[in-house]
Amino acid sequence: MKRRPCAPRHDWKETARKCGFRFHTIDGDPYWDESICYQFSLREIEDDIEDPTQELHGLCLDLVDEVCQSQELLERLAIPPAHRDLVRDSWRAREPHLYGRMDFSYDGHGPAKLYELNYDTPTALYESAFFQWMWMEEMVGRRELPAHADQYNRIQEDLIDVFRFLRKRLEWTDAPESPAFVFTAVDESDEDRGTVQYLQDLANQAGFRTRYLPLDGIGVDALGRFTDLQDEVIQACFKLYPWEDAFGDEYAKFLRKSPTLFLEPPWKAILSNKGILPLLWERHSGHPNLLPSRFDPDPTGTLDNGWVRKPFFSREGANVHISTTTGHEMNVAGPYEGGPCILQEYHPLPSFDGRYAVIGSWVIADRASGLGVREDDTLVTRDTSRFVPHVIL
Amino acid sequence: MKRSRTLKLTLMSAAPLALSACSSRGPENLVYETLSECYSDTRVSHIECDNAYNRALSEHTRSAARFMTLEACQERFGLGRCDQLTDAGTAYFSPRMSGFMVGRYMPPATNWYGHSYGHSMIIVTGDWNPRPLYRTSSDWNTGGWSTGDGHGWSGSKSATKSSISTSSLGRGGFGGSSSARGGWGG
Repeated sequence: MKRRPCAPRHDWKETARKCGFRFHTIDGDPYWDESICYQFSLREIEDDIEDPTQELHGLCLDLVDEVCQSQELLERLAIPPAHRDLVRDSWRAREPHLYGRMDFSYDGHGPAKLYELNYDTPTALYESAFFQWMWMEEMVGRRELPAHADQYNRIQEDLIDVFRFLRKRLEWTDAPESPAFVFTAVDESDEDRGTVQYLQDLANQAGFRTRYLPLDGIGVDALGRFTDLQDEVIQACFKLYPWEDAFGDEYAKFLRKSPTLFLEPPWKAILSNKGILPLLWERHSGHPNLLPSRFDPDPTGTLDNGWVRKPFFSREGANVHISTTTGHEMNVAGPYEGGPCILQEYHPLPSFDGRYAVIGSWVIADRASGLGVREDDTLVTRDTSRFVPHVIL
Repeated sequence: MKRSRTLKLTLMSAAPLALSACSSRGPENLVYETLSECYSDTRVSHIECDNAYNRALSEHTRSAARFMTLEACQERFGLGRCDQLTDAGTAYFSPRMSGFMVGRYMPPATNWYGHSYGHSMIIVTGDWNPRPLYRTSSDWNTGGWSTGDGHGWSGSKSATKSSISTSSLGRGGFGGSSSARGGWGG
C-alpha cells in the first residue's frame, strides 16, 4: 500500500457536474482529491481487507442474533425499552438490509484494525461506488494508468442486485399503479441528499418506481401508516436518518405497527452503536482485526494514556477524545455529549506523507464489495476529510 | 477483475430526463385476500367490503370448478388449497376462495402538473362485478389471480401490489430529535 501522486483529469469538474456529483467541494474546501491516489496490491486487498471484512460481518450478524435474545445486552446498548420489540421483530423476520461500511486502520503491514461500523447511515457511498470507478475507467482509457490496473469496487453492481432482489420479493413493478419506493433524508445536507439521490438512481435502474421525500415531509394517516406527499401509504422507505434519532421523534410511536419496510431495518440500530465494539472484543478477544475495547464506566472521568473515548452514537468523528500513549490529548467537538461511551485502545491511523488515511470497507447486503479511502490532516477522520481514489497494481 | 465492468446513472446525470412527475396513477382493481384487508383500505367502506365479500362467496359456491378427485384439484390449485364438498349426495373437490374483488377504483383525474381534481369512484358493474378469485400453484409465486376454473384472471396484474391512497392527518413527526446537526450520514 502506498500513496502516490496522480495527475488530476483536466476535465474532472465537468465530469462531476455531468454525473451529479455536487459535493466534491464542501464549504470551499476540496472533498474529492484526485491529485493523489492510494495503490494496493491484489494480495493486500483480498487477504487484508476483503476477507477480514467478510469474516467480521459474519461475527456482527451473530452478535445481532445474540443481542436480540438478551434483555441485558439490549440494555447495555441503550436500545430504548419502547423499541426493543421493533428491533427484535425486525431481526426475527430477517428484514432485508442494504449496506454498511467498516472503517479500518491499515498501512499494508500487519492486520487491518476495525475502528468502527457505520451500518445504519453510512455515506461516502456515491464517491466510493461510482465516481471513484469513473476515475479508474477514465485513467485507464487515457493511459494514465496501465491497462491491467484494477480497483476493488463492485459496490454499485451489488447494490443494484440487492434492489432487484427486493423488487422481486415485494412483487413490485415500474408500472404506474405499483407502489413507489420512497427515499428520504434531511433536506438541508448536500452530501446526504446526494447519497440518497444516488441510491434512488440505483433502485430506479433495478425497476422500482421511486420518489424522494424530505424527512420532515413524512406524514401519518388515521390508521397510523406513514404517508408521502402524494398521500400514498409509504410501503418501502430508504431513510438516511439514524434509528436512535427516529426513536426519539414524535412519530416513533407509530413504528411498531407500521406496515412500512424500512432500509436500513430497525435491527441495524444494534450495529450502528459503538457499544457493539466491546461486545465483539468480549467474544473474540485477541482477534487480529479487532482492537481491545470496553464499555466506559465513567464517560466524564479522566482518560488513561493510550485510550480513545467514543460516544455510542457519534458520527463523523464527533466527540471523539484521544489520549495517546504519551498522554497527548485530542478532543473533537460535537453534538453527542452526555451519552454512554466506549473506550478503545489507541491505535493511530497510519501516516502517509503526513496525511492520515482510513479505509472504508463496504458490505453490500452480506457481501464485502469494495473500498474507499479518506484522508485527513489529523488523526480523526471527519466529515471534512478528503476522499481519494485507489488503484490495484 | 475486482471492479464492475459497466456502470451507469439514470436519474443523477445532467442529461435531459423524461419527466415522470406528471404521470398519473391509473385505474386499479380492488382485490383483497381477506375482509380485514378490505376494511383497512380507506378507499372502500366496510359496507362495500361486506357486500362484495358475500356476493363473491355465493358466486364461489355456485360456480367454482368441481373436480372428481382431490389430486386433480390440487394439481391445479396446490396442496392444501382444495376442500371436499357434496352436492345432492355426490362428493367433489373445489378450490378454496383465495380472494375477492370489490370493483374497479377510478382515481380522480389529474391535470398536466399531476394535481388531481374531481372525485374518485368505484365501479361495481359489468366487468367489475364483485367476484371470487383463486390462486393456482403458479399464482402463489407470481402474486397473480385465477378464475374459478383455474385460468389466469386478466385483472391480476394491476390488482396485486399497488399503491394505497389515503389522507394524512399530519406531517413533520420525524427529524425533530436534534435539528442542530446538518447531516446524518457518517
